[in-house]
Amino acid sequence: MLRPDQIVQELFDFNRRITKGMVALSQVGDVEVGVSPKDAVYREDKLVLYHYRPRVADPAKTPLLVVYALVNRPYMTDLQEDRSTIRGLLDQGVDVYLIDWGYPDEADRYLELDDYINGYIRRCVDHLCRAHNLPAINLLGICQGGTFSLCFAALHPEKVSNLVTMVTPVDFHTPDNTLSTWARDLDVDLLVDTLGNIPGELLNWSFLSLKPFRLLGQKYVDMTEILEDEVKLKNFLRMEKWIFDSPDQAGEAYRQFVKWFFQDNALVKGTLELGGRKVSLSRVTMPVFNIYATEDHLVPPSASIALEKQVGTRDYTAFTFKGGHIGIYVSGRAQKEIPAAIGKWLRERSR
Amino acid sequence: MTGKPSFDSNDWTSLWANAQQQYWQSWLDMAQKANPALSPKPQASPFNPWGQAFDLWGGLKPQAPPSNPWGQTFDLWGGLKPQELPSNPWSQAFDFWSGMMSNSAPAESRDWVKKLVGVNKGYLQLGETLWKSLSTLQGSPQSPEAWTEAVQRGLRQMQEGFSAGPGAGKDPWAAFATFWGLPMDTWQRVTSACSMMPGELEKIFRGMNAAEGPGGVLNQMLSTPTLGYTRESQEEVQRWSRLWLEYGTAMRDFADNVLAKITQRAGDLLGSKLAELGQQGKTPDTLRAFYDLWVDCGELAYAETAATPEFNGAQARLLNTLMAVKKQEQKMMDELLGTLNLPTRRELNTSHQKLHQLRQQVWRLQEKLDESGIRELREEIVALRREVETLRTGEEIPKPHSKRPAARDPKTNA
Repeated sequence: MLRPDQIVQELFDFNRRITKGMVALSQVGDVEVGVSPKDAVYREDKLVLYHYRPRVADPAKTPLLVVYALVNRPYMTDLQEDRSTIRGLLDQGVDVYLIDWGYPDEADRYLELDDYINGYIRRCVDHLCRAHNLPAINLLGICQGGTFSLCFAALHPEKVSNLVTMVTPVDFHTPDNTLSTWARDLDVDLLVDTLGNIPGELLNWSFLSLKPFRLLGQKYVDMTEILEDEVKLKNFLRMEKWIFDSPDQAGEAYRQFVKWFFQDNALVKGTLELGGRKVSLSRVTMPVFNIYATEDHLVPPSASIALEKQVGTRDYTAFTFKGGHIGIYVSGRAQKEIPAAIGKWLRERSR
Repeated sequence: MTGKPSFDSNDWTSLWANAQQQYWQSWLDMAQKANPALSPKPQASPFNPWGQAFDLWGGLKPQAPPSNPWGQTFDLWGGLKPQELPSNPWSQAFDFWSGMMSNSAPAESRDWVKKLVGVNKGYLQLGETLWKSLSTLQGSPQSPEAWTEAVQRGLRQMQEGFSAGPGAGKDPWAAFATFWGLPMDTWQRVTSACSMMPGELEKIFRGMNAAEGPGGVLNQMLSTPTLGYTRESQEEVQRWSRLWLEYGTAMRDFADNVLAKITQRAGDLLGSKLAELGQQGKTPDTLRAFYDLWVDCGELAYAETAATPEFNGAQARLLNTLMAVKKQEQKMMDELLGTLNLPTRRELNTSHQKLHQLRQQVWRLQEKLDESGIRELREEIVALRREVETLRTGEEIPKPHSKRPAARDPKTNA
């Protein structure tokens, strides 16, 4: 039974940790992220296409292009040396490229989904096809980037050899999709017409509001327990940096994404059109590897699993990761399981 | 944070520690006044407030657990009458410390210092509530049932305080100022930058709306027809005010009908869980364990509600009404900028839109050029030139695509 004197003692200790933590925080210095060496090989507007330097002598002939979400920054895939999906893929002999979307500003507010998918992604893919003298490359789409990759693969199947999707929403109207439920009654026209680009803070509020007591309260009480451990503190601060490093969203693209995907669920209904062309997932005929996380509170498994019945491929593989939306990049289990699974799946389909 | 700080961080930490010492010293003085038998240890280090604090609390050091902590804790207060005790000593201390800390911290660190102390205040307040509840057990037999009853009584009091609405003369938002208020607190932080109305002014509108109601005098006043040369601008101001009232209503609705229910439900869940654990003789034995249980119940209650149409509707109204306010503000601001012959949001939007349309045209043209094979012809010419050059210099002709071409900038198409 908890006694009053214990409470006093714990609170004193709590305050002591905070006091000491102030010193630790002031001395921790820069929090560095994105550790694997890479080179910019293509630039367009604010987009940069990076090539990660191979870590094996003879990497795979067909490169893998990582398409990250517009929300948050892609360095989550390469947070630190021992928590890096990218590094794991490089160790698997995959030749990895990644699209960094940058930070859109007001001059980008009229960018549409068509510009992102049929524009930026297509030109990055074309660049890599030319650079590698290949008709098609492999795609790895993450979260919203996975949805974009699916659309791209449906519109340009001849340019995609193999498609990997990771924590990717497909069916936006499954009952357990809280984020999607919240978007239904949103006046997105008023929102975009008013704000132009959508501030990253607003998106963060949505995400953190999914588990407010844990993500806005308990997490920082936990933090006081690691303030005096420099390694753990830096790990925490890297995550913290990533969580709040939220680029604003180009207004028109956001409007379209909310309306078409969250509100209309157009991708699975088969009513989505981009650049005047219908996006039919039945045209996704290349091999598909769909990775989802069982504890994902942002993209519930049901939203990802729905892909199987939508795609036209006969070579569909689902991979279940026991963890959450963030753990799939940074947890110890993820480092062991995810890159190895992708590497193996790609090797089995290399031509 | 960028780089190493340029100050001696120990300086302001010492300041903070000193402030804590002074605070505890004042408590000690107060306790001594009530009970002269209590005296501070003269050898205590001036930079060891924890030692003094623990001394004050009757030697409750981790390595020497007191045999009768309940009694010792209350002995500290000696003859102090209940009304002389600070009602929320921990929060007061924390407010004092955090204020001292953030003010004494260098400017570049102030934000995260405030953040760190701010987010942890909820933990402290929980400890305080729990401490008060358990303190009522002084002299009573210590059984799991009595313990659970004391905690539940404290929780009920806390919930009653939360549920006291405007009729009780309280700002309902204040009820959510702590742990339970995290969703709303975050919302306010997010939206604070979304309006030209400062936070304090917004509170006034909130209060007006609370006393007003939809068909009240204020609403009627704001619907009065406007007259004269400035009637259009008067109308705009009236519209803006009405939109603010609508936003205020949406906020109240969210606080009263959504968050209050979550608070209630979370409290009920916690009570049930404690009763269940009490029956099993497994009540939480640390403050941290109790806090974690509290968080679990909060999340469970929140998850239950967050998926309901009521929550969804209330939250959407919150955002939609805020956007309506901001849109109106933009319109008024644009009018003002127009009269000063300064660029307006409307103008910028038109320019950006036209610029984007031009970009799209360029992309389409470039795509057509690529499709028509001109790119391939250009590449072939480059390859042939290279071949001629190689033949001219007598070097071996490289095989095509034996080396990956360098990155190309699409703007130059080179």
